[in-house]
Amino acid sequence: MQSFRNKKSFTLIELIITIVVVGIVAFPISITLAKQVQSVFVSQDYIFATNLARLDMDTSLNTAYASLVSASFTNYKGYPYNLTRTVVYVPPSTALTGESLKSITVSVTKSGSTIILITLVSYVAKNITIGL
Amino acid sequence: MLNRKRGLALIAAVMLIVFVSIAVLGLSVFIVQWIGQINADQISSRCVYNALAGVNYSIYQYRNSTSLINGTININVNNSFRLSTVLAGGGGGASSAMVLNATAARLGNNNRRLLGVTVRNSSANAVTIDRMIVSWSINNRTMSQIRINGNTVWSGIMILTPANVNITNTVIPANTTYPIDLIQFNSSMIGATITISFVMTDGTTTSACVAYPVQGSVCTQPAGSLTINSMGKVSGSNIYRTVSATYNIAGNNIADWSGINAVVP
Repeated sequence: MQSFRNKKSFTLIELIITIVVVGIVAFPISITLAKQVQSVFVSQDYIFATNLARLDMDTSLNTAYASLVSASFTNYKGYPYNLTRTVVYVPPSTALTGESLKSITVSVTKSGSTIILITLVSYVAKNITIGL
Repeated sequence: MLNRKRGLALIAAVMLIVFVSIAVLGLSVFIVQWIGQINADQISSRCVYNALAGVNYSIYQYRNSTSLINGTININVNNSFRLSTVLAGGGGGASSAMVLNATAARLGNNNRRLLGVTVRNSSANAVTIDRMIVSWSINNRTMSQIRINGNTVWSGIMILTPANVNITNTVIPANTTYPIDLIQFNSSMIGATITISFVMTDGTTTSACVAYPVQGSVCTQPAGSLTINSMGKVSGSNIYRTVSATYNIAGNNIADWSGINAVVP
């Protein structure tokens, strides 16, 4: 009987120690895991944002110079991302100078967030065609 | 017997913890690398558009003040490009050794072929011709073949002016003259002004033009082209992307551009 009781009590202590150890170790692991999973979703946001920014930048670079203007889009192309395109003349050129250079800045944020996921910038010179 | 069973659950738990820890560590490494790759991809995209900005900036500066811009230009605190711009014709490099002679140029084969033009490498080293840009003043004519020194270096679909063609790389030995046997057009070129440019493998260009109907007459060289190498950079990163573009000044168009694996010095 003595032997049987010892067996039981050892198992109980053992379980308590195990639970405590697992609890101590599992806590930081679970936090790390949660952060990793969260970063996967954030990464997906960056990928989407980059692709949308590229799309708008390529479209802008192939848009007629006079038609290239600033614009803002909510849920750009149906995706939950907001895109802002800013077009300004690069000083000293202006709309009135014979030759001019426009700066295009495309920024993308997740809908409902103000954190900018990516910003692309480029220049386009006046009335230049691409191709033969 | 009892002693052997003591701590069994603890050992199992420790093993589980070790296993889970390794799995989480592996996952972490994978995710960190993946995020690093996404970050590099973002920077690479930014570099490409910075490089394109440089191409447009160079063209703007040339058209605005006929000045060639070289060196680093900052777009803003985070983005920049580095330019190396060469004006075609007299641009130095391999082209400076080339002498295109069109004084004996003539038309043949029902005036559809340009004949009698020669190209001489006047240097002590062999040079290699990479591309040819041929333009002519009658817009509805097309070009279909180029033959140099007995070899057809380009043939293909009939293309309109200005024809920027990637010919078979042609090596001209030192101090050697090669005939441009023919440039074939689809119809009579009487009345046309034809300009021929050779683009060397180092990107420099040499040109000549002939004007008809007067054989060998001197014609005003139309504006050439700019060869622009623009390297886009993002501050705080070693990543760069370089774009090489050919800007046709007369046509006001970027005739050709592509990414190259080169650092603009």
